[in-house]
Amino acid sequence: MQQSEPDESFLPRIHAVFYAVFDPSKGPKVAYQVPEGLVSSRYAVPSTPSVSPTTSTVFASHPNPALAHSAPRAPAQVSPLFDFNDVSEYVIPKTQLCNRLVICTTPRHKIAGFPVLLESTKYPRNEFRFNACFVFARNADLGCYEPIVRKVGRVLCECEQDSSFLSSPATAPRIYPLLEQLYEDLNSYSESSIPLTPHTTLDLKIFPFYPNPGLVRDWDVPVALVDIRSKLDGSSDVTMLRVVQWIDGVRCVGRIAEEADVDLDWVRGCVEHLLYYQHIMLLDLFAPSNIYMLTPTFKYLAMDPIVSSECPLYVTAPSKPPLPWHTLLRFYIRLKPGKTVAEWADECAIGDDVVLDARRFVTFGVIKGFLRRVERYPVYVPSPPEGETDGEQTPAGARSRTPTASGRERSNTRHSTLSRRTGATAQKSNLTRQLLARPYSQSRPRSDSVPAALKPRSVSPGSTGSTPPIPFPNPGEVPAELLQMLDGTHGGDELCWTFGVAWEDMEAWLARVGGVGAVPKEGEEGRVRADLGSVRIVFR
Amino acid sequence: MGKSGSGKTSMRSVIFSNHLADTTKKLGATIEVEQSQHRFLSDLMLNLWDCGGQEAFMENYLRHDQNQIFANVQLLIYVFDISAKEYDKEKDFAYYTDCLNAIKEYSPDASIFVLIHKMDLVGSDRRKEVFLRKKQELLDHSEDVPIRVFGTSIWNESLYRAWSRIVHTLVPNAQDLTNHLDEFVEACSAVEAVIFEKTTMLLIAWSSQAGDFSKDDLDDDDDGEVGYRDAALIPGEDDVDDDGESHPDAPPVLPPDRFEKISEIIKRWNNSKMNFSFQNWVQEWSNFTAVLESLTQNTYILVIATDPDILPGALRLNIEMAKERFIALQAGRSR
Amino acid sequence: MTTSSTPLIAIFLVATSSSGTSLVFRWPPYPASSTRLMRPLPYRQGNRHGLDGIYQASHLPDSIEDLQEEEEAVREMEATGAWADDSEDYLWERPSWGSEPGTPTSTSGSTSTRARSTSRPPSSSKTSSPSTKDRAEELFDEQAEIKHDYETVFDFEAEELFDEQAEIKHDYETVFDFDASTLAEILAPARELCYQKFELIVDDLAFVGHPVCVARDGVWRMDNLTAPPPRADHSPERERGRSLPPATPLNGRSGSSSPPRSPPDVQERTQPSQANGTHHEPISFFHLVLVIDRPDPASYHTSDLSAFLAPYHAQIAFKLTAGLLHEEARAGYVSKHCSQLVEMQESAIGRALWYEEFASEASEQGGNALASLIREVYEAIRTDSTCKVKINHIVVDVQLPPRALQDDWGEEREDELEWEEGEGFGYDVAMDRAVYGWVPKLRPWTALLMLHDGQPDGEKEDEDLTDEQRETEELRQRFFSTISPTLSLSDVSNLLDLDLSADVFPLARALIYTRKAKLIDVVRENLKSIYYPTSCPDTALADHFHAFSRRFPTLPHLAIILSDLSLAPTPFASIVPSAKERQIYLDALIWLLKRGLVEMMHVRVRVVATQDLKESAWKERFERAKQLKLSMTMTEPTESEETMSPETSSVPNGKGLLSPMMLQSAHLPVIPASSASEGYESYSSDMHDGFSKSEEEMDLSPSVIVEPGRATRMERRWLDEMGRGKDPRVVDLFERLLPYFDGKTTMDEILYRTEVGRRELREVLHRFDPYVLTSLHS
Repeated sequence: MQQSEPDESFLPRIHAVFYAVFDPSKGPKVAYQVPEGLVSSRYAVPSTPSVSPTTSTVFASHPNPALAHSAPRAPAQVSPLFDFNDVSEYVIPKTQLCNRLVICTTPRHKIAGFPVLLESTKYPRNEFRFNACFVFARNADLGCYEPIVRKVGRVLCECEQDSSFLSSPATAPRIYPLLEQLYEDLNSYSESSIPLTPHTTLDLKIFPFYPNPGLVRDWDVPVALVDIRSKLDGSSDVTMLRVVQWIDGVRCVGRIAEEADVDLDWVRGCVEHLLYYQHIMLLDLFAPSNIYMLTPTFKYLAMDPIVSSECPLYVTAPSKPPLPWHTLLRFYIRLKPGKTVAEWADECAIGDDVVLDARRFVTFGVIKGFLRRVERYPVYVPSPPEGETDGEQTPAGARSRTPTASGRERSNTRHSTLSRRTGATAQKSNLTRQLLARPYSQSRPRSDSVPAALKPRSVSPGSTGSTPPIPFPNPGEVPAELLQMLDGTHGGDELCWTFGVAWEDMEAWLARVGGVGAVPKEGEEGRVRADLGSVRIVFR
Repeated sequence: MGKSGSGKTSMRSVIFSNHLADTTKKLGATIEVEQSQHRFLSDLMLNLWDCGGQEAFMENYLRHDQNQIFANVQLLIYVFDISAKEYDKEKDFAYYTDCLNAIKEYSPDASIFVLIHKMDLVGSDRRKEVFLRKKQELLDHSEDVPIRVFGTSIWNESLYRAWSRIVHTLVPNAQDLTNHLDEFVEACSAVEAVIFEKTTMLLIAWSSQAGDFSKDDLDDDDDGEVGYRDAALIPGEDDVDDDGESHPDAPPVLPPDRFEKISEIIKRWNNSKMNFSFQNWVQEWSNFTAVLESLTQNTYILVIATDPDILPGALRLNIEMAKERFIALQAGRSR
Repeated sequence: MTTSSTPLIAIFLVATSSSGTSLVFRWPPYPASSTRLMRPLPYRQGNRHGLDGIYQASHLPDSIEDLQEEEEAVREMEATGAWADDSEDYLWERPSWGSEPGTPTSTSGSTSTRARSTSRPPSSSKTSSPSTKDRAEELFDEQAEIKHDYETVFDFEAEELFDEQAEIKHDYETVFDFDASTLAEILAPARELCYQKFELIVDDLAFVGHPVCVARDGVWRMDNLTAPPPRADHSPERERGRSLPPATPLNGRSGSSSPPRSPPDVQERTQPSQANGTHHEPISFFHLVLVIDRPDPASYHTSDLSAFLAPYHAQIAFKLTAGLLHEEARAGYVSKHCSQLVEMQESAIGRALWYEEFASEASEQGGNALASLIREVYEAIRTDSTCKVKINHIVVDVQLPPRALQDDWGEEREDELEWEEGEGFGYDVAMDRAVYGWVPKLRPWTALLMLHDGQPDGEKEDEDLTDEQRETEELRQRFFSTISPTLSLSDVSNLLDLDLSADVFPLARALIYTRKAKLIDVVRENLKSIYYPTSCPDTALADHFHAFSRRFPTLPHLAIILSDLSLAPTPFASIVPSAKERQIYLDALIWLLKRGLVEMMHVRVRVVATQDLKESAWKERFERAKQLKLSMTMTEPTESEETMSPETSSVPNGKGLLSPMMLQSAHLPVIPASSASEGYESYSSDMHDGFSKSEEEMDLSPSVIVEPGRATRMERRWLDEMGRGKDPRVVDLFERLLPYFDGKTTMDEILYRTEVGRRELREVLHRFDPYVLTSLHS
């Protein structure tokens, strides 16, 4: 549930930056570090810093000797973070570790570096080893820094190759200001652009890291968590611009694809992209026939000041006076399994004397996570169920073995038996369609995109991926494919979307499959039905 | 051990990794300690620690990881760079004495070899006295600790000489190996016979009828001198000609460094061989015959006979027959 | 997206002995990490979700031209729509030394590098300079003349043999594309990094472990595993101290305390491989390393690698290391087995076995105990199961906590986690959490549900148990035989009369920890409680159907039961047709609970101050204000004490005395709020209680009393108002229950804490109906 805006402050802070090299006579040493004195060395290195002719070729005898070996000369008050000698084997490592990202840990810190080994005869000992390291707190999450560290390593390496930027006494001292700027910029602006040589500039920007987005199904409804449009500009992807127009918290992915007239895959792509950056969140399709229930987190969030302050404003139209949280709380508590939103609305007299946007009301709960959708999972249970074998008899059983064969002919036989009642129920279902809001039937997917919905990607494993596109079935007929999906793993939304009908019609179909009247019994009109003869609906 | 850039890794690579002197230029510095294991005579595991000589590392060895580095040492080879700058010398000696003390403390029984390396950089005329002077310095610095000093250079056989001696001290039963060899020389009335280790081509046993130099040659004192009596500073390739063509009419007195030269030659073969491994080599010259045969699966034997009547075939036959014994001997050691 | 199988791809054992640091054993023989992308694959439908964000992000193309050619390829692919199999050139391969993005020069040097780092003949052939080659050929011709045919043949054989050996050597020496020895040295950190969590990340691999080293005086000690060793003194003068190998008699009981005796012979760096059986060379350092293929970031939402790795360290590396260290200190366990492994490897190479063969041989039963331990652990973790390994007599229980893989850290609430205090793992909270975090908090009113039928923990080692071992054993037996889903833990403790927190909880925790039992709400025999299907979309539903119908042939189809249950929240009993079938339905319910198909719904209660309540409360106060003196004396002390101790139920009685006289004044003409406030102000001013001007008193809209336990004075008044005029007994009950009417406490808990009967509770709720707000959820 961390759909909060990416917060730069979540980025781990750089505690220190240092640049270590392999000195052909002195061995690994910290040449420069920012801030100074944080990286100590176990042995007070002989204080004449690298002025010996043997080394001067690689190590500039620094104009300001204080820069070199700053450890011993460190101001007294700063206590070193760690001892360089402990980690030198990872900072200036053996050849096999070179040119890889290496992150090692000390008791309190993480040290991320990209040790580089350049081999060339122009160097004494034929090689030049260096590493620009970043020091973080031990429990820091470096996910977003790894690319940075790599890049710094690479760019410096290239500079060295072009103009021996690091090794030549002339330019070597410029490493210190470089580190300084890295340290300052990355910590304060989390980006930096540092000209190194006339040709190369080191451009860095830290992108906070997010986990991969989840699965996007055609019937998921993207809801904006931030003002996406404000984040887009002319340079943004065209498709994205298009898709964003249609993200209104009402339309589902499939429908956006239709109305924006964008290929379904591309819409999915865009939505995933937005998900990744946590600009949106996926909800289920809102319909009066939906059922919701409270989740355990309710006990914490019910009295959460933020929730109780946000909710009233969110769910009531700006013109109207917001309802007190207490009232809304009662409403939420009334959302129970076995009660459709429609029923709930009547019960709470919403619309009549209570001014409240039911959709936003429900959505709010879901977004905050103390409310969850109760989905219908129709299961075909041949009646009467006889113990051992009924498993095999369910389409589920049949499906799991031979995808279509048995299922198909069963469905055919069923058709013949069903078609008698068709007349009456057809009207009825038409009627209900008049009466109730029909999010699905309007947004019936174009037939060619139906198989897309059926592909394993969008439907749980082993579904009938191979079925040919389904022509829009006239509501009187029960599509054969439906029977394949009555194994309790396909939810109501999925079914409705796949076949492009409203739940009421779906229920009517199921009733017919189950061999009971599509007409609810007396006093059951519009009420939730779980028992449709040999089709049982499991809510979960 | 030894100061950075004194040539430790180079000599290791020449001896154990069949590098050639000129390719060692390519080598980079050694980071910390490079541990390498070399199987020597099948059942003898040489555990070679090549310790990077940079100050930081040295400090580490001496102050921090002492018990890691200096414990359980059987043999310390300290390498000095004869060409080292004067002002470096002091620190160099300081480290050296520190090492000796550490060794004394952690593995008192270790034998200590000191190689004065890069002798080739010294003019051949001054070489001997330079060597002796340095040696004296060393003896002064290394108090009571018994050390053996060699002057070496990867550019000539002196390296093989020194290492042969070094390894020799490690071979558990070098002596009876030599005894057997003596018998063998006796048997096939050859002038002398030598056993090389195959991969390193180091000399591990040696026996000779020719009295031109004696067992006590193994004593290091004049060894140093021998090493440079006539170590001509000539690039490796030419050694072969030395041995091959330029000797035909040489007197029976054999050049003292012949084995090492041969070592180098064989090394070259091993290097250059693409898809087959060296088996044997028979060479007949007007005045002597040399047969180089593989003895056991990890040793070669070189037999030299000056008597022109002895046919190489005979020698090789003898070798064939002698093989079992030496194999048994080796096996016996491992049992 | 969570990957069910762990990214653990290998376990290494690195040890330092006199012959240097080496990778003593690795399992599996040839570990490999999953393939990565070096740059994002262009969008396409299908299984893109497996791809790895970090590497997409971090692996930039090497140079501009092959970036272009990539784009070319992409465009081409888009055109042809040939997506599926063209992803090779997007794959990232680990920089094996030599071909290095960013450092072209390295290739030139690489040969020499390799030749140096691994002294392997084959590679060295490359390094010979041409001049010498010619020379050699020359020589070779020279010898060829006198070469006999059989020799050439001989040569070939020899050559093949030679190659084979090189191959095998390579087989042993290469792990991933590292040199085994180099890798070992990398994994042997400096002394200062020992005795603490080790975490090294190299590109796509994470190495996690807990390295330990011998004390400076050369003695292994089982001291605090996590205390960083005394830092090396910075003083140049180096500390003396003879290095002594630990006293390690094979079967020696000698603890670490035993005085270290100097070794019989000084260890030699060159020792014959046949170490004589009695003496094995001591090790000075060992490190059990877990190699983890850094997982797809999508599989851990925290995206914090350290947090993700913590359980691996805490649950596996740390525990095993602790055991090994103890035995090493006591009996040189690790030393012994390491040297044994080294020998085995030697002989294996001698017999020209591949590493695979050697490894499996070593890790088989009767092979090397340590090796088989490593293998066992690895396989257990891979299959995400628990395993008990024995290090001599120490039994270590190793597993990866279920939550290490599925990552509901974020949603975890502190109060639902079991926190072990004093289990000092240092400042590494993530680790503490990793060890015990996943064990749900044990509550006296919860019950244990054994997941597997039959005697749990059945392995009876016939090794002679000491007395206290035996009695703990039989205690456990009694415990196991008693626990049942219908008994709360407190009941259990009463039945066995054990101390709840001292005896029962630890046992229970152990059961849960080893995944033999799970914690559930007590199942009531009468099945009166409400159960509802869990939300998890269950793909294995068909299997459940099968299993259920096989297990309960007489019952209706599972789907029917579930749908009946789920239509609306009703007591489970409602689906039981007749009383005589209750038992089997009870079993069915337990079956469902085991599989986590249903969960119990809880009623939670909140207290609401309704508008008219507030009004009357206000009036009452107004009245009381009139009789200032009376109320002052009587209320002040009590009120102040109210806020302090909420649970004192005597108080309302104290107030109850007042109530009659207030009742008379109950129906006054309602004072308009405005004047009321004035009047109120006037009175309150001279009533010196600090907060009387508070707004909350004035707004009369209904509100929830968040924490009735810690009611403010204002809320207190409302609560009293609720109780007014009701049967004191009920009011009394109400007061007792009040602290738990916070919408968080479940009925079970309430009943347990306030030994109030269900009936009474129901009565209270009924009587206070207008003021209670009950919510129903799990």
